[in-house]
Amino acid sequence: MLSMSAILSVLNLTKTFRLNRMQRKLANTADTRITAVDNLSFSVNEGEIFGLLGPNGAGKTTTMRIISTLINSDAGDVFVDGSSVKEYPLKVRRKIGFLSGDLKLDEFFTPTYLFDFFSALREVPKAETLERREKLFNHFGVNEYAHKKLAALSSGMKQKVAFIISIVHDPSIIIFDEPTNGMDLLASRTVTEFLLELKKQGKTIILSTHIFSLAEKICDQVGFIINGKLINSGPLNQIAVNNNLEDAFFSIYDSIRDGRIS
Amino acid sequence: MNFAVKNKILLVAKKEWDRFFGDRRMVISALIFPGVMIYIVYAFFVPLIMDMPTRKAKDSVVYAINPPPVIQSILEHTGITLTLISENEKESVLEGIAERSGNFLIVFPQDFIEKVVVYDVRSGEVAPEILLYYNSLSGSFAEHYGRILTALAAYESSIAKKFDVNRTAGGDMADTGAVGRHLIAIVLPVFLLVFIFHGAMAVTTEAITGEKERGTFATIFITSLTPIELAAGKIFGLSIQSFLCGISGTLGIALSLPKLVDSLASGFPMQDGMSALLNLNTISMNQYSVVDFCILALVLLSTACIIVTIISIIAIYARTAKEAQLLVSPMIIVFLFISCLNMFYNQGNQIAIYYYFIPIYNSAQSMSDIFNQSYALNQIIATITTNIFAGAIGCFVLSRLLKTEKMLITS
Repeated sequence: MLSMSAILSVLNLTKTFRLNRMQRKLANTADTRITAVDNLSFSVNEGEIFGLLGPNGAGKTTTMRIISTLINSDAGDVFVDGSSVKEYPLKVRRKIGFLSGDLKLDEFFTPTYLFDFFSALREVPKAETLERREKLFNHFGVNEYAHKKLAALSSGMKQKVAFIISIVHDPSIIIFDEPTNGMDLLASRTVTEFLLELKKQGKTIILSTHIFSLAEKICDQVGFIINGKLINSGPLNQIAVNNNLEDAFFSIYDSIRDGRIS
Repeated sequence: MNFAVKNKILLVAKKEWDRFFGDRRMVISALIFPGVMIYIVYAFFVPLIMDMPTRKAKDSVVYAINPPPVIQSILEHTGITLTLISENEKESVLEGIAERSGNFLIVFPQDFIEKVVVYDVRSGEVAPEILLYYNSLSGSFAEHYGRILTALAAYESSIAKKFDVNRTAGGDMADTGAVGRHLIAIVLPVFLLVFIFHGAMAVTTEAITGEKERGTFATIFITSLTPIELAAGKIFGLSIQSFLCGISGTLGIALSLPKLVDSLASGFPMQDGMSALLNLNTISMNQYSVVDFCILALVLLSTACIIVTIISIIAIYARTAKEAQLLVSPMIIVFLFISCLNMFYNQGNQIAIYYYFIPIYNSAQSMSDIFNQSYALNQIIATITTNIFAGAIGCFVLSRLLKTEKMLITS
């Protein structure tokens, strides 16, 4: 469902990848290409959290990477605050923050060093960097270990630092790809709190996850992605069956598996 | 930390330097350790090992029966003092030698000199014979055995001598300094290339594949940094580090050279003739000027640039830093081959200018020219510009590879 007031619109996005001989053998297919994202469309309104839910290999990460300008789509486009990611990637990059759950920051550096480094890459003026660093470090409780190397920090602390680094330039839209990937309970809680805090600040968030409880807790809108296709999307309360997102997902998933829906 | 550096290439390079110089273990293992180890090995261990037979030989006794005074005197010149014994003591000395005492016994016939004087080679008679008893299994065998044979050979040639050589004039016309420079030019380019390669491999695989492994490229690429800026920043930063690693190892060699040369000159007295011929004391870094070192530094820096670029391109295909090191390691054979090619075929010879347009080979050749002090400015300029140009092409290739989707996928 596309909205006129959307700050981010994904339009008929399609992405295929070439399969090498080994990958074809593993996937037991003769096809030389695989469709990771298949004619995907959705939109996100300003200040909302949109959750893209699906199993591993469904196309979530590819979608997030296309939105973040990291990879190009074969067809379709994404508009971020009116700018096409294909035509104006630099303009889009200034407006977005991106964090992948796979990210492991270099443990040799301190949170302060990394904050300053990424601020400089984001062309944030020095004075603004100092002000923003102090504000964010205070707000998220990073100050006490700001000058410790990441190697000495817990996984929750590291994740907090990674989150802060993704928003050094104060983006209005933040893309989180599987932010709780491989995290323990405490670190996952840190993520949830962080996302809610950003929502409170009026940020627009696009989140990919396969954890239904996280989506139920924080998302305004959700979309189910299976085999690269967006099967169902809309406000959380409309999509969830009896307030249960997991049941809603699996009723669709099972229908596809059984051939009742294509 | 001052992030006033506006240029993003410098920013990336600075991050690499902070990463390297801030990591005590990295600095010690890649920068300080090779140089210090080489210095210790060459300056202390090698002389110690070379000195070992001499020290052991000092405990050995060279017994003699009926030695002529002239031979005694020749042997004394080579540091061997004979201990005279009678025929009666012969058996007990021989038993000692058999039990690896390290001693020697030289038995001369009675009136040896007189017999030698009257002996006519053409007569067909049996020549006077000297019997030398030793045990080749004893540690000091080689040291004294060589000296004794040298002394006896010297005496043998002296009794047939009918003319003098160089009594009033003449001699070796070679520039003694050039001999030393020639040896340095053979040895140091190989070490320099190996040390730069070793340093480059350590820092580049971590900076390229390590970054890919950690998934940080994605975070960097959604900033305004372009792939070419990232590639240039990495290559620039890592080239400086590799250059310093190369310098560290070479400093170790250069500083230990005088001690190594001392031990070469004094450790094997039997090689006195050889050391005089080579004039080993001319193997010194003092004979090079500041300009020579500056030119060498520029050649090394351009060499480091091209080595880092090659390693970066290979490392980008690896999934882990370990895999990258495995992929890169065989390249050392290529580098050794190229520097050895130079070592054996082109030492001291002027070669055509187009050889200086072949990356890596030109570096080995230019280094050799610098150490031989036979370099021409156009050759050095050709080497540096070729390497920088090749590095720039490599940087472009690297930036194209950094743009590919494969960069974001580690598994």
